[in-house]
Amino acid sequence: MKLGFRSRLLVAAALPAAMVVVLLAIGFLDRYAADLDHALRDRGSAAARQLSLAAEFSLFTGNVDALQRLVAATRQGDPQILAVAVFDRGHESRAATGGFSSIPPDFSGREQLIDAASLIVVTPIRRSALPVDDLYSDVVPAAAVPAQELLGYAVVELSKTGVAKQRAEMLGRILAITVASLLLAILLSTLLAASVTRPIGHISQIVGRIKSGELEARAQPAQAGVMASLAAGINDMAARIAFTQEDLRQQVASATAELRQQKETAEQAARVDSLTGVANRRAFTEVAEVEVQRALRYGTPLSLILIDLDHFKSVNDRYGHHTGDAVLASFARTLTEAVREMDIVGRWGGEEFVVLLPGIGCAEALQVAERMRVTACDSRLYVQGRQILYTASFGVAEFNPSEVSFYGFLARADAALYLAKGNGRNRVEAATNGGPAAG
Amino acid sequence: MILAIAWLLPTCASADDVSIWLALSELGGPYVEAANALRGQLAQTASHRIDVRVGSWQDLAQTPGKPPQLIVAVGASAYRSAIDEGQRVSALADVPVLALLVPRAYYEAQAPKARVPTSAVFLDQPLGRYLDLVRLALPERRRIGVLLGPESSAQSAPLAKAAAARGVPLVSVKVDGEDDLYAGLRSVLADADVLLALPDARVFNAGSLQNILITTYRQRVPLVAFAPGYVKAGAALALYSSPTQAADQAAAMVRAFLGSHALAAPQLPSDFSVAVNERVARSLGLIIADPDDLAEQLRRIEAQR
Repeated sequence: MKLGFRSRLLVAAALPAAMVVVLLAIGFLDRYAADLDHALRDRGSAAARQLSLAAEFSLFTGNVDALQRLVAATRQGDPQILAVAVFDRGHESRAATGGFSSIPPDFSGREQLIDAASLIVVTPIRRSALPVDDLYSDVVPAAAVPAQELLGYAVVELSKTGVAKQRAEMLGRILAITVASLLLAILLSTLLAASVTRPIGHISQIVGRIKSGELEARAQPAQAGVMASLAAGINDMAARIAFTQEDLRQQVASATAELRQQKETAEQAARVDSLTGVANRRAFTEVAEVEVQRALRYGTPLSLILIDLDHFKSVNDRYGHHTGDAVLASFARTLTEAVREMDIVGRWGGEEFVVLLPGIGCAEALQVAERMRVTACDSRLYVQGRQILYTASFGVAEFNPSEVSFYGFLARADAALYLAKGNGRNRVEAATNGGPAAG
Repeated sequence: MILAIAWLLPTCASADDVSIWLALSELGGPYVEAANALRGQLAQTASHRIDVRVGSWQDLAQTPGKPPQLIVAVGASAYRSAIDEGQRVSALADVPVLALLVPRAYYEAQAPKARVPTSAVFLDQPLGRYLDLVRLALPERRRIGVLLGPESSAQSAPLAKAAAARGVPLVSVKVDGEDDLYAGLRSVLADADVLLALPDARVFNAGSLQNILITTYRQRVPLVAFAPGYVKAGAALALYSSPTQAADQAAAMVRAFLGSHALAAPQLPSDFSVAVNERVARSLGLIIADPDDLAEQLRRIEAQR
């Protein structure tokens, strides 16, 4: 497209120039050829006239040698002269040099074109009159002495090949000038075209880059040249597009982030107990199922602690639900702080909590439960200026691979908890490592 | 008494006005110069009151009135008109004609036709005067060549006689005209060291003059001619009588006619002038004296003779 544009500009600039040059050349050549013909004819006439003047006296004296010299000198005087002769009035040749294409020449006219190659000029030789104030001539009738008496003819034949050669030379020169001026025109128009096509090329390249998404691409004013305003416009447009796109992207991103956050919040809400911040029963169950499967697959130990706050109903009754909630939250924090990162704390429901301890056997789990019990017992919780004392009972069970399911496992821990409740509360009891029948 | 009569006669004549016509070949140039000079001379004539009328022949012939006592024809064609046409006009049938500025050969050829008394002051100079001039002006150019054509061949014998009288070697060649002019010229120039041109329209004319001048110039031979125009054209010397000089001579003849009522015989010019082309003379390596001095010396020589 760029080449096409450039060549179109080139033609637009060079074609009129070429046409003008050619028309001028044709007109000039035509005129020049006519001038050359005229000049040749004039040269022939001048040579013949000069010869006729010079030959008059030699013709009068009958000096053939002198005539021959004159004729030879006339021929030598001009390379275009092919032949020269002097004839007397009886049309007899008196002196001649060179070969005439037509002998005898036509004495009637002044000049004749023999063929395309040569031209014959015939000039009469007349006696030049020298009038004298002579009273004797009063008696002589004027007709008696013809003052312009014809003595003979000077004949000159000229070659037209020189003219043809000059014409050819001129044609060649004109052609050379034409070609040179065309080349110049092409050069100039190329330079001119470049001043348009280069900026256009640069701008179209920038547009291409913008199209392919490179919105930060900008046209350089220095390279835009005469198209600077177009480049500026495209830059503005690109900037606006880029701005709009960035704006859209940010809007989309913020909307996406908001959605993600909402989703995460929802998910979190579905899995976390809103009061205590620990896993709710459903989430805990899912994780516990996975950990049971893992313990089954790898044969690693897995322990479960089931916890119930002692006399929690009386706390609620005595201090109100608000205080009860604070106790629950505090206790959940106590549990969370007492376990490892990988351990899972969940609220099973009401004042019941569960803790799953992967990779930990019953003995260690008992120690963990004991630590939790002590911490809960020693905690000094202040709610609305009042110190709240509470305790909890713990049932600990280790996973038995024969159980296969989590619920059997949980049932044994529940049995241990029941045992702890039964044994006076605020204590830790271990479940039997057998089947549920043992609980 | 005789003296008284002699004194009275012109007075009586003056009582009846003398009328003279001056018929001019052309109303210009030398003819008018001659007419003016003649009229001036005649106005000083004490013996008569002369009524001079000047014009072309046609003007004068058509003028009504008394015929003149004398017709002075100034120029050859005026002369021819006077004797040809004058005869056809009865009033002019016996008026004498005095010709002025006419060639001798022409006058003599026309004279037999004339029925009235005629006379003339010729253009032609005496032949001896030419020879004397050449001897005076070009003393070292001893051999005088002459080309005689059909109109001047009659001069051959008188010229030879004049040359012999002066002891001048004369080379005389006769030509028939145009065709043998160059051959004749060459044979004259081969032998002579000065060429004397005598009036002959078949030899010396406007068409031939340039070639003759070139030929003589190339041979380094000076040309001595018979009219001042030749000097202007390139001749070294010319001997001639000016129209005024001829008119003076004619005035004397008119006065004589008024006295005697008879015309004197035709005359060669008594007074003359010399013209020199100094540039041509210098080109030919000649030293020629002042033309007026030459004329004066010539007059002295003729006075002594």
